[in-house]
Amino acid sequence: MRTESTSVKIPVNSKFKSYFSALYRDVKRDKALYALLILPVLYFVLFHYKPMYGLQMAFQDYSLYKGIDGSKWVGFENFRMFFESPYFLRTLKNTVLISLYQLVFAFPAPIILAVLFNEVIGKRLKKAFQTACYIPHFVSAVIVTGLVTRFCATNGIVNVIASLFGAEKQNYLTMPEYFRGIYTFMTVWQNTGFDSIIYSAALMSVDTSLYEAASIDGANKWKRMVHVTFPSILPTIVTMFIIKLGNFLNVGADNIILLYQPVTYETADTISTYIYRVGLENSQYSLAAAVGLVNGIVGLILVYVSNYVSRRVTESSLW
Amino acid sequence: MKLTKKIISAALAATLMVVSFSGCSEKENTNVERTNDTPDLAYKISDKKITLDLFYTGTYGSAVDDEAGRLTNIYVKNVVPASTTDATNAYNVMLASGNIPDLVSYSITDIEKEAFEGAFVALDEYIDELAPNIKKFLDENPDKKASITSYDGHIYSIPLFEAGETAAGYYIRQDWLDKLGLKAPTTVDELYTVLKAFKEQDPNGNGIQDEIPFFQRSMNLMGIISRFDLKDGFYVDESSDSIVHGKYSEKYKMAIETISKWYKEGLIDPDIFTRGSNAREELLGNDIGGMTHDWFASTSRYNEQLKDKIEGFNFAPVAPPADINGKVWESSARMVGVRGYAVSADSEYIEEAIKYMDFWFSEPGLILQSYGVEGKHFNYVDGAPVFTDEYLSSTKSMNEAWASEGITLYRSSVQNFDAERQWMAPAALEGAKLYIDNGYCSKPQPQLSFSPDEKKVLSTKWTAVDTYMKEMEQKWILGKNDVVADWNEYIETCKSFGMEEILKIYNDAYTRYKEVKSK
Repeated sequence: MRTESTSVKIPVNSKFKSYFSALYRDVKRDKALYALLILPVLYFVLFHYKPMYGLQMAFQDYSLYKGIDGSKWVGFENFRMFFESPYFLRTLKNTVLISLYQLVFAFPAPIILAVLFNEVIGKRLKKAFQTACYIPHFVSAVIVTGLVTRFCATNGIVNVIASLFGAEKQNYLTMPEYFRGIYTFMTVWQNTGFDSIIYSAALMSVDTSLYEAASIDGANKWKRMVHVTFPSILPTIVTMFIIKLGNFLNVGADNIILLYQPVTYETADTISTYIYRVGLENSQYSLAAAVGLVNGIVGLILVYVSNYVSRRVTESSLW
Repeated sequence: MKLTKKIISAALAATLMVVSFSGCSEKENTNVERTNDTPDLAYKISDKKITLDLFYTGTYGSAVDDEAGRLTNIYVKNVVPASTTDATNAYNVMLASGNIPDLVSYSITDIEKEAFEGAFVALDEYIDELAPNIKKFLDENPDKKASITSYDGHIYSIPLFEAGETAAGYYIRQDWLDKLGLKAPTTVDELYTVLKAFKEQDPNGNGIQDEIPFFQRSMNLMGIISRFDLKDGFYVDESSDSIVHGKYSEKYKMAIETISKWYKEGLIDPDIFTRGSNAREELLGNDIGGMTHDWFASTSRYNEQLKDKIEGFNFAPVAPPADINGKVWESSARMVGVRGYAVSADSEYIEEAIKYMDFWFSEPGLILQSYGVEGKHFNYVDGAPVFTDEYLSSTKSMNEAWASEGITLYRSSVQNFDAERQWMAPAALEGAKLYIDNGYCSKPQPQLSFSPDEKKVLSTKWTAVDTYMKEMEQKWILGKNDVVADWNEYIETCKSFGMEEILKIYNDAYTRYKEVKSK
């Protein structure tokens, strides 16, 4: 740092100069703290910024053997291929819809669950419930989808129960109209417990005197929940929501691939699953990189906009 | 700053160590002595002992390669760690590292892609001079030569040529047929009668109509579709000598119309598209599956497995029902050869490597490839190689038992069906014999090679068409749409997605194939 600030020979404005001299003083004073910073910075440089160099393959006809430096430049060819695919609009629609389902159903579920846990009085009971809810998260996606497939089969448990009420036996996984529902239900079942951890943590830090004060003022359980609990964890909720928005176009391709069928493509085929099938034919790294770049840019815009809105509306935001 | 530099270099070193596992060029390692090998060198290729680096994923045993080394003085050393499970990943890392081992065993189509960029040697330029056995084999089999020749006229990889004609066949519950007084179906109409009887006459005798007359693990119902004079995917139509696609013809409409009717009547597994690869265990084990179309070796196992559980269980191979034109034939076929050796363009030992590949086409090489080492894996009985009893009684499956000793690995060589026959269960053998003796089997389809530009068009356009075709097929079969009503729109949509262009690319490739073949 020192060499940089002193070796600048050209006249610089005083603001710039004073910044570096302040920084220099700062570094000198808090050597140990800055030393601690080195590893995280290295981590970001090596694993998050250096890979960005590889983004150029989105504009290339990338060849593994020739590498990034040797591959041919093709401009926006890969993007054109992606946008011109006859199924582009359908896969985009499915991606957006499945993501919306996730935001509407899968996002609030862990919050509700965490608040419910918070109301459980017995400490042991609470621990047991929580552990039971975390377990599905650790079950492999292959097993979960296998179970769902079995349950939805013509002789599966769903049909057995439905037939008690006179419904006709049918395979629900071959019915496009049910796919998004089944998929959303599956992800809720699998992830709600685990995702509630962060909200449980936020709830722990709520000052208990707030609750006491509220009950003295005559607030019942519901009122306490609405006026104390909810505002206390709102910053966490907003943060999580913005992070989720950042991944809006990245729906879990692997789960869908395990669950969908050609007959349910019309509601199940998302951008990532379609690109997966295109890539299977001929390792299309460039196309995948182009699509990833588009997803990333959309995510960045969403995060930025939602952060701005949130700062204005709720006064809590990521930055 | 110094500290930072140190950390960076340490981190980089660690990363490099992980990345460059395939980059080891341990050619010095040749002086590792084996105790029990007295060099024989009957088929010596090189005066000095050479060890070639080999890229081989999957189960790899070195016994056979060591024996080959004893004979030729060329040894190979597999540089892929045995713990590798993801072959694609290992191959990609190997390519990206830029350090390509002397010999690479990988899929022909992938090798070709990198070969166009100069990673692998064009073998055809050396074969005439250095590889008399390979040359002889290719001259005698022009169709195989054409199948491995790339669009630019070069040969970059020589696969393990597959042998044996049989692939899949029809299996039916013979005990159910006997019980209902029926005969195995020989026509499409009889097939309908039999499946209908399975559905309605309760052959498993449990009082419920829970039988699933026809099921197929592969989910594509080719067992029935092929009876309408069709094959799966792109294939050569013999009458016009051009490439057509099975799902792009009037006959397919007829097939689907029939199948959707059968599906509605409950003759076809209602969960056909979701049941997955365990369909046989599930349906045969529960005594409800009636008939299927699947591979001989694996389907024949169920008689043995289920004989105690289900009384009289007999899942027997039967001849294919005749197609609508009255022809009896089986639609599945083996491939010409999909994976074998290619030689790195950077290798110091290109000529030796090609001579070594040629060794595997010579008489001793072929025996070594299919039967292993004499005295250890097989002995000569009446002049013919026969696997030893101890080896045959191995608890491993055939493929595992072989690969762990290095037999029938994906080298450049020729498979020997007799070796496979010695491992087959009697029931499987019976089925294979039925199909071979009566000449039901189809010939392997030619393997076509495309230029990089053609591949690009195929990978995008074909994905769209394929998506559409599969989606419509399932909708029709499940009765969500009607094939007759949709048909014109279906053909139009395929066209608008580029089906004609795709077929043209295939036919151009087929024309190139025919040119090489007739040369």
